[in-house]
Amino acid sequence: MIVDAGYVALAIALLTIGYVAVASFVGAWQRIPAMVLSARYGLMTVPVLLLVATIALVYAFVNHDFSVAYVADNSNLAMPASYTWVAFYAGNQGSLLFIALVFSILTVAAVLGMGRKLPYTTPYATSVMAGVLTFFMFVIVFLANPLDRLDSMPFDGQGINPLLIHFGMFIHPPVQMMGLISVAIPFSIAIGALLAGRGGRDEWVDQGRLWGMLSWLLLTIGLLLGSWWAYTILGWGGYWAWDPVENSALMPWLAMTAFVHSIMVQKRRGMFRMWNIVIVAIAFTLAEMGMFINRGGPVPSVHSFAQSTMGWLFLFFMGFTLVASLAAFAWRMNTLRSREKLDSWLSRESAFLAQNVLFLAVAFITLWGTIYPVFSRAAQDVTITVGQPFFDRINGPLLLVIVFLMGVGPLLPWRKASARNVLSVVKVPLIGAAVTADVVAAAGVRQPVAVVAVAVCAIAIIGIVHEWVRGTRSRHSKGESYPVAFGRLLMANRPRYGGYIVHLAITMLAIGAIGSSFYEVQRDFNLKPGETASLADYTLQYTNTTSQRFSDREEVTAHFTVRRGDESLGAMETTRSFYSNFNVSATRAAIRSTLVEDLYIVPSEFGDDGSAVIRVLVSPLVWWMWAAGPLFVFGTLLALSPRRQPAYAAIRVPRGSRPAQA
Amino acid sequence: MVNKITTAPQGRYLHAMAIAAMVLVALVFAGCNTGSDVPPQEQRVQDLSKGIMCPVCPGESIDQSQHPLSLQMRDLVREQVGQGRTDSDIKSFFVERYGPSVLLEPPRSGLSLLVWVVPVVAVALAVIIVVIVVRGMTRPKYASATAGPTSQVRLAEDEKERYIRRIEAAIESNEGKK
Amino acid sequence: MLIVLALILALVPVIAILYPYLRPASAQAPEDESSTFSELDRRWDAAISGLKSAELEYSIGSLPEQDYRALREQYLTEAALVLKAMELEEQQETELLARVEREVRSVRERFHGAPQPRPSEAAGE
Repeated sequence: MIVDAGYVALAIALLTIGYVAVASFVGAWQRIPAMVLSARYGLMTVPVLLLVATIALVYAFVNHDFSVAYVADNSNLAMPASYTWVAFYAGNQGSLLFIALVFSILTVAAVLGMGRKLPYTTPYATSVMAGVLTFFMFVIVFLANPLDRLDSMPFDGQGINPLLIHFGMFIHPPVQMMGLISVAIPFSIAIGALLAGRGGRDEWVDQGRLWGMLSWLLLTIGLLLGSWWAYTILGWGGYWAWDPVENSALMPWLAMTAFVHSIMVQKRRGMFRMWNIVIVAIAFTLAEMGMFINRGGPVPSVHSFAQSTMGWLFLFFMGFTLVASLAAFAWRMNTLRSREKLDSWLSRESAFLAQNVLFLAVAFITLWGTIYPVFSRAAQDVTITVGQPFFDRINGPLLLVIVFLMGVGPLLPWRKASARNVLSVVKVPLIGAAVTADVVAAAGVRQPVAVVAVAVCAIAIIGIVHEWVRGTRSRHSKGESYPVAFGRLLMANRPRYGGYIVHLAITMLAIGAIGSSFYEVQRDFNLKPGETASLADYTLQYTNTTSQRFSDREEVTAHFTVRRGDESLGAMETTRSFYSNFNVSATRAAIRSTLVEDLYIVPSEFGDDGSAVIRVLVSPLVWWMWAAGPLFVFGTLLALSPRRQPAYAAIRVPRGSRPAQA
Repeated sequence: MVNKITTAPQGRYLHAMAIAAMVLVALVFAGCNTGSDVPPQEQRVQDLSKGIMCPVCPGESIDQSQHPLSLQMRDLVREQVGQGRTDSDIKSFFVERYGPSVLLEPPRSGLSLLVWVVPVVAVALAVIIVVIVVRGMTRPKYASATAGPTSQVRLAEDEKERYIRRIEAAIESNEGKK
Repeated sequence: MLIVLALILALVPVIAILYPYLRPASAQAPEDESSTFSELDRRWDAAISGLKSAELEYSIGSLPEQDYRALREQYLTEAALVLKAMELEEQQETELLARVEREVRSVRERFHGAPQPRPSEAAGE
């Protein structure tokens, strides 16, 4: 019953959102206020309807209603109710419903937030958002309905994919999916403004920046969580392999990073108007690709995506949104002329332009490498693999250049910088970086690339800290104590300093990546109980292997005691679980993480005689990558927090006392 | 008014910055165990394995994957390294058996050269485009000549002074409010 | 039973959608006269934040004195222009309102005290 109600709710939601998309546009275009309002009210009922469908699905899971195909595929009798959350979005249909629900809520929030500020743009923006949601609802209702029933109800379900039962999976996919779909919001605002003929007025920039940064933050956290999950659960000691799933989540992030920077130039100078529309359209297209490639179920790949019928539909929709946005852009292009010109090539504005182009280059190269195998198979009938080595070799240096720009860019003032001044300011981080490079090299770091990379990070860190020091000293000389000066400095320039904090977080990521990429040591050992192995400073003594059988899996655990030099570090254990239902193994690595390095142990093979083949890795500086996460959140929220400017209202002379104009 | 710090004592900053740099460096140094724990032969095996894909596991190298076939292939690599074969010989060995897709890095010959060339061309193009665009943007005609709401407004000198004083006062009082 | 449920569910969006048509007074066309003000407001914002940035950059030494003075002049002039433009807009609006009020008052005065003329006579005036 409840399930049927959910089924009906989905159909009604499709009809409603279809109406909203059309009515919002027509009402704005033909100036029928009642129609626009009707569309808005209709929009607000859609989250309610989707919530009904969601509740229906959850109900089916919790009550083990295996007549629902999706429930039978993604759960079983043994599954505890708390896993329902993960099972919900584990498969194709459920993840689509999740995206639709989240998007409908975000859309309502966006419309409520901007309705008053952008009376002309909002109906068009609503229409675009509703249009995207209509597509998703169409796919859900007709092609991938999570509430479809099976002809005959099986006794027990398949069970949930065991790789998903990890803390990381309870938050990574939802956050990642939210990040991807939320790109639609700044996109819709930009296109809405364009359609309303107001692209050149820059009214939409505040809201565009707000939603752009929120979307960016979600994408960032999604990527970090995904990497962390891969590191702890997939058990190969790495966190990023440039595979299609990861790449498809990275590309929209790259485009959005470009967008949140260039939108600032539009806000301040009325420039980059055309560019911002193009960038946000690219970002959304990439986000669509991200959502469509990651359809849950068996390991997705670019090839499987291209072969399914749904894949063609998604591809068509991607093409449609891209072409439609470019058409709207071309139509309204003459309203997008820049308000001001660039004062100098040496300025923060042009640094932003360079940064944008670099990010797009990396995105393009990533796309190229991801799609190339499809081309090569079509062209030559020979499949070429484009794997990690390719991306590391090409994107690596580009990303390093971006980090360098990130360090030097903020030292440039807006509008115009004199070369002499720039040099005198840039001197400090450059010298600091040179010193760092020397010390690092002297300490034994031999690979030149690593030394250069460390130096670039040093430039970024020292550049930021140096500015903080100068700013604090400047305020201090006006009479504030150092801590107060620093605090006030931060609060008085929140977008700028929030941005710097995010930059610091990026440097932490870079440091972690450099350390673990260049200086990871790895060895495999074949140990009998009682034998020891040593790597770096660590000595592991293999105690024994225990095994435990559960209803759905068999767990084999290897136990160790670890020492570092003379110091005992206690016991560690690593587990491999084998799920016979799914014929899949999941590993829980033993990780001992410090600020300086990670000790990482995973089992390879278990012998019948109690021996074990294990892999031990010592990976430097990995902790810094995960620690960057909270800093991203803090920096972004600081940059977004509303601030008080001297408003025009405070300055007006009251009407009565104004001298009469001659 | 704004209090400007003099740029003269850059030396003092240099000191502080150098210390900060040292801290960073100490961290990196401590983390980077450059001890030669791993015998060079074993390192070769690892590096090679990281470049060979496991044919049955999508997208994973034989180093990453724990599939029995991967383990077998790793042993093969180790054997061949022990026999003294060169890296390219070992790679060709696997390509013969499993096809060119077994290598994670695309070959730099034939049509696959395209994979490598296109990104380089793209970056070069991007740099050129940026230079052209920036030069275009710096031209005075770049900004739109369309009338803005302030284009019709005329300000006499003394009027301007009065307005500016009001603005400065408002900014001061806003600072005080914070 | 399901039909009833379906009807109830359908009713929610239908009522929401039809409401503005049935109560047209609740929907109003967006007012346009704010758009000049909002454009000026944005320019004001840009000028003030530009000023703030320039001050910060000067105080930390990224911006040399000469450039700072020039930029400051530029930003303050822009802000002053915006201020004046806003006042002119307001003044126009006030004058317009005052004129409309005068018209209304004069029309009312013409009929004040006199017996209510017939519509045809008033129109003929």
